[in-house]
Amino acid sequence: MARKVITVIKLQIPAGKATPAPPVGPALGQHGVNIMAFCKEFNERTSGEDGLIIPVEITVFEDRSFTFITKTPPAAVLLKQAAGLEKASGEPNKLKVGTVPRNKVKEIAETKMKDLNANDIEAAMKIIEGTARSMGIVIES
Amino acid sequence: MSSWLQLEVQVNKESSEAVANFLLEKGSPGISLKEPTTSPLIGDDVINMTSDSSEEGVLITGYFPVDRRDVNLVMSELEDFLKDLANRGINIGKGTFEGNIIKEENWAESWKKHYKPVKVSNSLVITPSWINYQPSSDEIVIEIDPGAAFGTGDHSTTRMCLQALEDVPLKGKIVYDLGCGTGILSIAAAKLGAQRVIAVDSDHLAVKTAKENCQKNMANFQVEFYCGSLPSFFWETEGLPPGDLILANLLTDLIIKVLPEIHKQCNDNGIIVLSGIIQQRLQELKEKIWDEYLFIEEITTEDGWACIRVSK
Repeated sequence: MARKVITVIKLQIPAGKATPAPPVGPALGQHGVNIMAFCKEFNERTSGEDGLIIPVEITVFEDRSFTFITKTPPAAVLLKQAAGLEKASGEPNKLKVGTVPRNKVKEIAETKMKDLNANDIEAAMKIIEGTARSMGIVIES
Repeated sequence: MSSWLQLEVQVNKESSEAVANFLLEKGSPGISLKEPTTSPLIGDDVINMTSDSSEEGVLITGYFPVDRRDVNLVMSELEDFLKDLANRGINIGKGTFEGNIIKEENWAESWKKHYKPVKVSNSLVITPSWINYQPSSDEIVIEIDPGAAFGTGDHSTTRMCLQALEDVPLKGKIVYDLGCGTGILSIAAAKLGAQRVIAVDSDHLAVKTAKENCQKNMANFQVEFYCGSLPSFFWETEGLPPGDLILANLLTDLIIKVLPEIHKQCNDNGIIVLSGIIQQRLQELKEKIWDEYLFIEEITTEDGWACIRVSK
């Protein structure tokens, strides 16, 4: 059927654990989106990746029906995994919390390539390196 | 009832990942993001009405339960974190934030306030299932709950189809519903007396939802469902009977593509209802209809959309 988009809602929520609590409730509720239907469908689609933060883009149509796509995990999450970290540095300037080799950055850039607004792998790596820097993670050549 | 600190942080793209990660690590159960969007969203079947913003800023919102987190501490830590990023030479854009306390609501239910029963034509009333609507003797009620499939009756393209449906005598007739979405048109056709309704959608989730809706409305005996693409559905499915009424609430391009097949499938005295047409493309579609040697009986328009009733 023909449909017009009224808004696109972007969230990052843990896989398999969407609930009507924030951020889902306030973000979707104001547009009249069926929150339980979204949670059920999201949890079903992301089961097996439990707890991993998943970016999701929910497109809301004029009649308040919706569809959504899930994306690759945020670069921050992938960088923490690669560095074996639980947490990033709260003060990246003062505290280096881990290191990630450059080839790993390339791997992350490749994983995220389709979701990043980058023209080539070099540009994608630059974005990932920027995120690493802002998290207190050092890139090793 | 408990409250939440809604923390909105305005930064730019370069630092947005780090800030999002910071909020998540500090205990926000998830975050929402608002950023300029330039890419097409989910493919061709969408008319994008969101405007592209020229601003580079990203608004990240995190939530912290007031009774379980020291919200002042979270805010001061965020302030330090943003300063630190800036000191390091990382571009944080505006780098501002604002905290507001929001009251906890029953979000699982509160979205429902957007929906009320809607009378879409002389006799058809669409209502969500949680409202116990008492119809008058000449009203036909269809229960549809909004969800992932399109077609709640709350949109001109669906509404005009429902109105067109009502004007066709359907007792004992065979109806096709191409692009069935929630199944709303199939249910209406069944309730208006159609003997057999063949509902098709390319989206398996829509087909699943439509089946459930048909059951809820006790229309499942008349309606049969197919998950398939158009126009290949017509030549891949054997034994399809000619249709007395063919409803195609699709997109203009798809209607143009599928019109010759619809024509073939339509009974000699049959009616075709084409909907989901943007008014700007009405003329183009009219010409396609004339190319097929079909007759335009009526054109209705609403909110920039057109619905065309065609006969053979």
